[in-house]
Amino acid sequence: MRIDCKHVWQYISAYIDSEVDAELRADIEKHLETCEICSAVLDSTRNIVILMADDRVFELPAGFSERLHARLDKEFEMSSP
Amino acid sequence: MLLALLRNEAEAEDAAQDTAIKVFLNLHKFRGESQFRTWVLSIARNEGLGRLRKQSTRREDSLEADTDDQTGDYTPAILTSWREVPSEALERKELGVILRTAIDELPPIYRNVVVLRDIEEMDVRETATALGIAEGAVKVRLHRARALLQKHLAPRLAAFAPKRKGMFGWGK
Repeated sequence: MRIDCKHVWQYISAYIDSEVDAELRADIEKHLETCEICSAVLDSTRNIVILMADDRVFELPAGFSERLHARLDKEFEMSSP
Repeated sequence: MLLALLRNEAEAEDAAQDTAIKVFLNLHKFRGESQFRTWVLSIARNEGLGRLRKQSTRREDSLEADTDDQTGDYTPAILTSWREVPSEALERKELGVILRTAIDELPPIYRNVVVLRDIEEMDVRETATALGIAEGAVKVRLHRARALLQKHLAPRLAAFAPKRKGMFGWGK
């Protein structure tokens, strides 16, 4: 089946997560072969998903470790007899 | 994860400290049935979601303040200039800031799903259970969250694309 760009955009997320059935996947891939716009939308969406899963995006703030240790020491003192 | 969920650095740090204390106090309950990391993250997630629930009862912008049918069709940012994964780009701090800000600005119902699915990498079922919503709603919200992020971020992230000739297509 021939599908248009809007139809592809509707399934971008499900396509990235491999949650579209084989027939729809084939239709999307056929469309992507000739559509520069949808290929770009797919690539940029996928890049964002990949970046979000990268631990480096959410770095710990400066001094976090020291403050955590101070808090733990305080809790230990309070919980010890 | 906690920062993305709670959107407040001080509260996220407080939640992380509480998580560490709970991990320590409950260490004897860890049976090794899951990986230690998974166990710790589940405690952190519960801490974060618990605080979020408290916030939502205090504030008007509750988790359900937004509805699933508010945003229908969307037009993505159409650029061909950010197609390559910028493998070293994350070493540049500003990319992390841009990404965090965009996640932060998502409506809460979309932000919570994208945090659990794409940052925390929980599956659809776990996300649905954690948020108390249907699996179908997780998929719909995730799709919309990613679409909003793509529209907002693609033009900004284009600046991080490798500056090699022939890679940018016809786009900006």
